[in-house]
Amino acid sequence: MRVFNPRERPRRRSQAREDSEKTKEYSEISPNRYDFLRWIEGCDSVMPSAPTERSAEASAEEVSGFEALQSILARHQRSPDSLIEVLNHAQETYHYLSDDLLRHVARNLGLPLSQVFGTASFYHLFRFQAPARHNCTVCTGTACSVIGAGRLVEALEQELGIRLGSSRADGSIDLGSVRCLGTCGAAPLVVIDGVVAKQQTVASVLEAVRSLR
Amino acid sequence: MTAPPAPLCLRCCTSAGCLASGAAELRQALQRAVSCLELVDRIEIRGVGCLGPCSQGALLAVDPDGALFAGVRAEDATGLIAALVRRWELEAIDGQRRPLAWTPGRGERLDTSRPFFARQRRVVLENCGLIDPERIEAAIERGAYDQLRRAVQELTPMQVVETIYRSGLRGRGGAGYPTGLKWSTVAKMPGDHKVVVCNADEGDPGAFMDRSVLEGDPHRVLEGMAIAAFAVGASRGFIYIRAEYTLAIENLRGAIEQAQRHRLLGQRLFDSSFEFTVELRVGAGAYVCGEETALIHSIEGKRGTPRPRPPYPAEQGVGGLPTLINNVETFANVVPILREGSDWYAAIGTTSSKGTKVFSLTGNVRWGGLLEVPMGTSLATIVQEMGGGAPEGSTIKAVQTGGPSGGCVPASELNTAVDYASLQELGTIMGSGGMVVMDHSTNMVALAAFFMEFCRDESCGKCVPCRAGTVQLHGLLQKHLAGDATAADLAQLEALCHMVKDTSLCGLGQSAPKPVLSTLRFFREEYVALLKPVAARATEAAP
Repeated sequence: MRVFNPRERPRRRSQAREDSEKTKEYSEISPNRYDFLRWIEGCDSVMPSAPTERSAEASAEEVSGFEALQSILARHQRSPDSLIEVLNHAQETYHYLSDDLLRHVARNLGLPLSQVFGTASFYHLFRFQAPARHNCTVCTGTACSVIGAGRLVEALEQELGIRLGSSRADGSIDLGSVRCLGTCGAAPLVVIDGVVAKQQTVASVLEAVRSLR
Repeated sequence: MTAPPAPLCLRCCTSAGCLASGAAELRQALQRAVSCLELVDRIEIRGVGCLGPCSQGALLAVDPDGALFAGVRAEDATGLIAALVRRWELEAIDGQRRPLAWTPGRGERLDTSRPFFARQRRVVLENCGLIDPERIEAAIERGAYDQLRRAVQELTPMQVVETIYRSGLRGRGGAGYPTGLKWSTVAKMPGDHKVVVCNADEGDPGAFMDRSVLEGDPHRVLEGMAIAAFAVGASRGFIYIRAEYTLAIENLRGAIEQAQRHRLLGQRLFDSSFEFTVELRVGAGAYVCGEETALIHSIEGKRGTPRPRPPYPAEQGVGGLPTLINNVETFANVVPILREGSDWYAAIGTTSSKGTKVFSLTGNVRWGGLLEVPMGTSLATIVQEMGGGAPEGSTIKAVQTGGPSGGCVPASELNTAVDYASLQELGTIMGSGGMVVMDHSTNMVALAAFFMEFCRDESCGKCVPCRAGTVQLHGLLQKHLAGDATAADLAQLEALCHMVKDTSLCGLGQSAPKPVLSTLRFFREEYVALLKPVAARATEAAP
């Protein structure tokens, strides 16, 4: 994985912002320049590292793979407009957006990788790492928070030994949050492996998480 | 010999709220029981949209009794069917009708004359909870697409715009812009290609009106969009919906497909030259995409960042085409207005706000759920009377409306009649209709910090006041909560709130400080109580 060095931060961000208007031209720019511009978009420290261009050792997956995306790409006639639809579908199928997958999508939609990554990293629901075996998501919407989601988060963080928004190192469970599922009548809510559990208490949620492990 | 008993219909709520309470299992169990006893012809098990008091799920209604049961579980299914069969047997003996004497094991029978039901006026939700949203035939039976047919065959686009204009309908997404005016602006734009967009990116935490409408009666929204398209001269439509609403997405997908199959959407509708196709666009989790220019970017597959207006979407929207953007509930109001006439609609509500409004009532309240009331109903009626007030042992402190873009109405102001103007005077907004009730244990500074954290996380980062301002505001609020703040910090908090409000690019930033300003207005003493005592500061400074 690529780690950004703050000292490498380009000096002229304003220039980069102007350039971001002309994303279509990225691909016509020399490889170095392209890399530079793409890199700026991923520069923010909260963002995951951008996928890097790989030349020689493209994996077999990249060349032939992602067959499951063919139908949705065809349905949208490979129009760049469909980027988010395609990414949603891709994440549903492959569980996360790998570097290879993003590159595949970029090539098929005729978009620069920078724009594909820039868009994907903007939205909260896209993930760039393989999910853990289990998932526990606490709703932290207003109603759930008023009724006690904070206590659930604290208890879960303590039980799992990880902070909200991270995964256990052994890949056993992700602990995440969602801003309102719109099912507030049953607050506070916790989603465990896709199943919404209503009116949770510290005891019930700990029991559910322990039963997973 | 008596006449055979009327067929029964068990309406089983299958919206997301009840699904979390095991509604799917209940429905299956009922179906299994009915088919085992070979009663399929006599008892219909119907999955329907939201039945109202979601906090009491899973809900089940029995027709024609009109009985509503709460807290029904799958294991209650056989008992209910047995009770129904026993009643038939008894009625067959003496021919007398009997009330249904059955209560679920751990649930209860709800009294439908309670204010929660009796004070409602269902216009948008008239079919919600009655029809099976997965079957277009059920919607058509209740008159779906009749008004579209009438508009296309009998009315001119101008007449439709005029009707909506005269009804006084205002946008239900939050800002309350007159819908008729918006329609006529788009209708006047030159060009053959226009777009209609339905904003179903209901991101305000604590709000689920749009989800419930889409889950319970998707054809209502599709028909409203099609009528709008006819009125403004558009041929393409998009529904932008948030990815969290999986069931609403599923129901909408099905509804669009069925409507196309029935030739109610598509080309050459009702033997005219009018055509309208709808595409679903699923978001990927960005609150800012509820802002119309950001939403347009997102539909175009780009980052959901807003841009300055003008040009307004009515001039340049999706793909640079004139675009009409309305909220789900706004579109859902179109059909009844056309059917009953603009005068009928204008007679409901207050002088400045016409019609009804759907609210989602949640938080520290006994009867939470989905309800629809005429505009001008007081908050006290909604929260105290319909919602039953705070649970045993607590009192209501405030009601939060409008989500992170709104503010808090303190308990002392609950007599306010809810409309666009009165809420604005109180420093909050109607918003999309989320209402979160807070009891006396709620720390208002922590609540303000909660919303500020939300806005900080959701700021798209395009303009500085919002990107940097929300971080600073959240920091200042945290400082208050930690007990480290001074009077100068409080003054800075207030000043910064006004700066962010006045200088941000889009609605997210402009309204991000509202929860802080509103709590400062009504609960200032809570902020002041958190300030570091002057003595402590003096001793710190001394050495």
